[in-house]
Amino acid sequence: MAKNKPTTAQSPVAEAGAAASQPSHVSPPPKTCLVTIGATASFPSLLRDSISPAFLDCLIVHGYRHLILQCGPLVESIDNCLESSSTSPSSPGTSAPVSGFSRQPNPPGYFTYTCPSEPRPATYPNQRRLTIETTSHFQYFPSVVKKCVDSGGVLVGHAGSGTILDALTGGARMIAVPNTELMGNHQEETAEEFGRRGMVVRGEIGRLVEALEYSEKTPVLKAKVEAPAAEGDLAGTRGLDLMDVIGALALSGANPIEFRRQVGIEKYYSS
Amino acid sequence: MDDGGGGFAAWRIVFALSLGAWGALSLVAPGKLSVLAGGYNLAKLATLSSLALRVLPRSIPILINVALATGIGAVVILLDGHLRVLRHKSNPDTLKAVQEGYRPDTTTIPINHCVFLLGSGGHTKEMCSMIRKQFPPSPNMHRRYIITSGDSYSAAVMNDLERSIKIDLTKKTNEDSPAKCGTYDCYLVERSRRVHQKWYSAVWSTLESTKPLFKALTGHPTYSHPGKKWPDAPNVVVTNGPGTGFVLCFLAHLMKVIYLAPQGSLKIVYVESLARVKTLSLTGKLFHWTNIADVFLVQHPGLAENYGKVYAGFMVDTTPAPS
Repeated sequence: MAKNKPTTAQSPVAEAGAAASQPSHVSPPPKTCLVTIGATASFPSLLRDSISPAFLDCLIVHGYRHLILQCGPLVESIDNCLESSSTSPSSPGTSAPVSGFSRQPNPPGYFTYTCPSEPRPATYPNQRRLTIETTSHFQYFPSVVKKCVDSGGVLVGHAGSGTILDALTGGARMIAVPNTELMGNHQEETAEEFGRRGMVVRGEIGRLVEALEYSEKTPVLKAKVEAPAAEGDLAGTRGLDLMDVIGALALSGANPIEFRRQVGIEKYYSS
Repeated sequence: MDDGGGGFAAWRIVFALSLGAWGALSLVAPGKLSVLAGGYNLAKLATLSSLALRVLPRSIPILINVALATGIGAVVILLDGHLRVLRHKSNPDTLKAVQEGYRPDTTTIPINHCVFLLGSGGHTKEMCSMIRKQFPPSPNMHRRYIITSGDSYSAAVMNDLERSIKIDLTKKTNEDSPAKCGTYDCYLVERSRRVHQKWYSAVWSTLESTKPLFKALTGHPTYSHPGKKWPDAPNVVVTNGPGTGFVLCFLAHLMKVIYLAPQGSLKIVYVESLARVKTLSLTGKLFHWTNIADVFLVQHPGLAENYGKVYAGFMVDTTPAPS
């Protein structure tokens, strides 16, 4: 995976360039977008934003065919929401046919969204459909991330450390949207810091489309440098290793003499 | 005690009370150490409360007098113990040695028993990532994971971690020897504060969660390392941010204060979550104010500056996993 990764990350650009040079109907492989709200807290506004027509249109424009929504306990309400918007155009007198949702017959959690207008760019000419899949939680998240990365897609999630870590270790492009309702609004800081380091793209509720546009323009993750390169870093900048810290503490507590012997007595007592 | 009956009765009540406390203590944590600790604390309590009884005025009823004296004695013991434990915290040079590249060889102690608290979602993920990052071959290690109940995610991540530790070590050492991974077990507890829970209802659930946490700190595993002495208490307790983590470490501290655990054991490691960039989390602040952690590590330089903590860099593994 480590070897393949740069190519998968760059493929959207390369393919887009190829398609632009030859105006035939050869379109790049369909991409998968993954929206997750994490395991612990719920984040309804992110889900509501990600099924808004503006965002879905933008996804289609950028060549996405598949949207996976991980909704946690909200899966019922999101399903109902999609259901109601998929039935409303058929019933006479209700809202305009703007919402192009329809329910897929055979797998239960699947919906289709059809872009109402013609897709704008020539890159993806004959594609107006997006499959939406809802699920409460994933059996094994890293494998879903891998599927998303392999298709060249983007991961949209809350700015929780678990999701960001999964995105980084999976090599995914990520849009981190801070959940402002959590304790001390700490996700704001997290999204800002990781955005500054170029490890994720910082998103905002209500401005998801902009974040997606930006993320599509910068497909190569700058974050592959493995440790922070900030000023005043530790030598080596790799970060302390937890198991070393634990080992040293356990040894110094249980057998101080042996610990001093290992470290070297003069070092232990210096400064 | 020249005025006869009253003073004598007070003595008896103090002794009866502390004897009861000792008995209760021995029941909760059976073992040689707890009996010794009980005896020692009992003697201290009796001495201190008899001293307090002499100072307290005689005009108030004797029962209230005794209760006050016992309370004063207990507070003095706890305060004294607290200060003693703080004085004997780990030498900062221990951490400095690790920063300078010292890699400890822990095979010289019989069993290296470490307790890891897996909170929820991100905390669990970070903790497992830190453990896995560079797991050394450690045949004498026993890892105890404390999982907050109703959290199937943590259990799944823990199983994943143990599996990958095995795979990593097999690859690294080029031999098929699962014995080098050491052993592990896990305990389930109720978590002390759910996300969005109000603080006043959190107080009660926190108190409820102390009993299983205490069991997790004192319990022996169902199987044992043959031919090795099981330590009286875990060597290290590691937590990284969930509220239950502070309760756990506070219990660990208390065990050292009342001599339920040897002074060299129950070293407390707190690693602030990767999500905290400028301000400490509530749990982090509690550790900061009480100052009970032997090692307090943060993963962002700004945070280290703001609170005067040790900047450790990214302790989690952010490199893309090869598959």
